[in-house]
Amino acid sequence: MRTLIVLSLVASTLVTPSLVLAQPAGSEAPASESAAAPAAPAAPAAPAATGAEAPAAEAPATDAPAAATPSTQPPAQPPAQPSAAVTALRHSCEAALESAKQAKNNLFVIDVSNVAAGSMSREELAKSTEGKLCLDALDQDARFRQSAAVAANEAAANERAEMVKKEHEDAARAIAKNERHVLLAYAALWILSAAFVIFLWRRQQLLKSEIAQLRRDLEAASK
Amino acid sequence: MNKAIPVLAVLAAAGLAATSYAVFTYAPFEPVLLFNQKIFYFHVAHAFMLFVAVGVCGLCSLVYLKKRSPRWDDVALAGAEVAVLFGAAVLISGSIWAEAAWDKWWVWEKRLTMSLLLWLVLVGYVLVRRFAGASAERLAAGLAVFGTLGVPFVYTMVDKGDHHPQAGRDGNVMTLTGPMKIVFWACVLTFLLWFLTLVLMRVQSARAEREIRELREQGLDAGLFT
Repeated sequence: MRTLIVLSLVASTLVTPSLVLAQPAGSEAPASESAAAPAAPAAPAAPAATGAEAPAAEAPATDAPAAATPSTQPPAQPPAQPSAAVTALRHSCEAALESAKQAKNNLFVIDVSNVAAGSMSREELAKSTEGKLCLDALDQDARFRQSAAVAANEAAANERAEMVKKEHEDAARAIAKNERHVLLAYAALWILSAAFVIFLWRRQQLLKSEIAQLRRDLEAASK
Repeated sequence: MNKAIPVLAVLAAAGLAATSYAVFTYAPFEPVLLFNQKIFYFHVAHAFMLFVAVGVCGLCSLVYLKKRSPRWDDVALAGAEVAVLFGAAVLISGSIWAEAAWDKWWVWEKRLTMSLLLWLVLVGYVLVRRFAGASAERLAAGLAVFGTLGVPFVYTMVDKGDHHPQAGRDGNVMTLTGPMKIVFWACVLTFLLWFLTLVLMRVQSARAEREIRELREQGLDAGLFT
């Protein structure tokens, strides 16, 4: 089956440029229609074969016009599709990330994202087997690295938003239940009153003793 | 008077304990001024007692100026000193509240400024009594009457453009409702008892001072003292 697909793709790549070259100038539209005609059966055949391997099967087809280079207007270059091995590597890394999430090992997930985003060095991640696996996947699959970097940025933004929210909530709680100032105010009032009472009481005692002394002096003088 | 002071002191102490408990447990949480509003119960009650003390001082000073009876002067002096105490309490607790609510210890708004001026007049009264010599009573009595005129200004110095927290509808504490109203008026009653205790204690001291002056005069007349 795979041989058939490959053969059909090779045939289409050989036929397509020759058809384009044979077409007179100013009639490109029909030529493209005719070029699409033989390739059409090959395109749906690829996903039908094995879902995961489809991008690998498509890769030679995209590279073919560049190799032939007979066309005056080469078709737009789609992003390079990862090979089957790279896809498998990516799937292994994704499986490792998923199992880390389930094991609540968010640090590993964050590390992978941060390495992808370039905000963290690779050494820490390279210490574990899963980490090495993900490093390889990041190195070899640009799309995976890009999506992981986006996830890292989103995670960082979410983390920042959470921190800001938490700080706001803490500040609101502190303001709502401002025990320090209320206790300070009540303490100040109690201390002032207590100090005044002690002052009055001591002065009264001194006055009493002074009155008693004066009376004694007057009585003694009158005798 | 000697017997009334301990009774009033015990009642005031019980009231202080009860109202302190009620402020934090019975009075509801105020959603606009938040927990800082708990300062309000003692802060405003102190302000009320400041007005009462200034009123007592001013009224007794006026009567003293008319009758020249030292009994009125004793009460005026006691009222002034207690007013200085309550005024200091109002300014300090208000300042702490301002720091909590506005992040500033002091704002030159109308009510705060007028309260400070009133308190300074009262401090002036005490200083005149202490240092003005023979005519201190009459000078201080005039100052007290002048200071009393400031009370209505302080009370009415809150309007919509002011930052001062407003209790009740339009800043009128008479319009407080529910448990807040009960706790607030319990605080006012408690501090009224406390005010009476302090005034009576101070009047007692003033009378003792007067007695000492009279005894010294007797001694001088008798040639005992030089």
